[in-house]
Amino acid sequence: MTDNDIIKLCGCGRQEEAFNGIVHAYTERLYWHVRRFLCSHDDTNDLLQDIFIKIWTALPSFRGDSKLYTWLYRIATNEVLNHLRKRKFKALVSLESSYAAVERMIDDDPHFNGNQLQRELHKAIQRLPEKQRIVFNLRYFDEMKYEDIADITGTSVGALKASYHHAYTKVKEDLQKVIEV
Amino acid sequence: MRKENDILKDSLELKQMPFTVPEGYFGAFKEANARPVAVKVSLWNRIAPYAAMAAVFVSLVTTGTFLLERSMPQYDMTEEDYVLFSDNMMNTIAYEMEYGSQLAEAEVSSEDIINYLIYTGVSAEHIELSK
Repeated sequence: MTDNDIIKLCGCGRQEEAFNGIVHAYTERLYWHVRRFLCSHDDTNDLLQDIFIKIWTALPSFRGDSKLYTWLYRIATNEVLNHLRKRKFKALVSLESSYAAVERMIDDDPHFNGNQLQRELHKAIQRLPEKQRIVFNLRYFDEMKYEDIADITGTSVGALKASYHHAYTKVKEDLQKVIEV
Repeated sequence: MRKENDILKDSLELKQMPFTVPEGYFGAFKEANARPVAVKVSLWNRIAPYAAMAAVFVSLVTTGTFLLERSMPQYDMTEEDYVLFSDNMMNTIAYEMEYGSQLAEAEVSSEDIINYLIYTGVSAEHIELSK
């Protein structure tokens, strides 16, 4: 089912079929989008279910003003950011820095199947500020257009380009250091 | 010309996702979430806003009453004060209700009557005439 088919179903009031189409078309993409931020499979699984509940609740209000996939990514990104803020608070209480917790999560992840460089890349991404991390993930991995990222984040294209440039430079430098050691 | 190394561009494996999911995860997820579930709202979640409003109202009333009582001047009236202020009472029936029995029981001597008459300006001749 294409995005147009899903939008048509929404327009006809066939919300359940539209939602079914979204689940089938977008589960993988949204899962990987969330997983890059949270790293943990269990956290991603829990949050993905919450995201689909949010999508179902918000579906009647979708007017088709923006692209379906940017609308879905916007919901997912907002949920991810909320989750990361909660995680920060928990880290504050447990006196462990949120970055250290995520680094430990990557090291101990039984579902990590990459090489050392990939491991370091994902650690470096976690060190980026929130906004840079979003832009970097969407641009580097998903190769999304700046206009679409702007639609998701509500930031101007110019600001996104600057953020991506900073993020890219930082990540590259971090990886260079690892290689040199 | 020396080309600058860009590890993010040169290492193609970096764009690949190093994380994996348990086998059959996506199939099971789609199966479980394809049908939208009605978001169940617990009874407490439904009444929580109203309970919060009621709690705020009760606390406002309690605090307001407490502050009002504290701001009012405290004045303990003695029996003498009460008698003094009773002169200002508009309704003398209340005074009689309060002190009527005492008045009835009080013995009024002829000297008291004379003093009262002098006080009110009744002349002795007038008393003689009335006899």
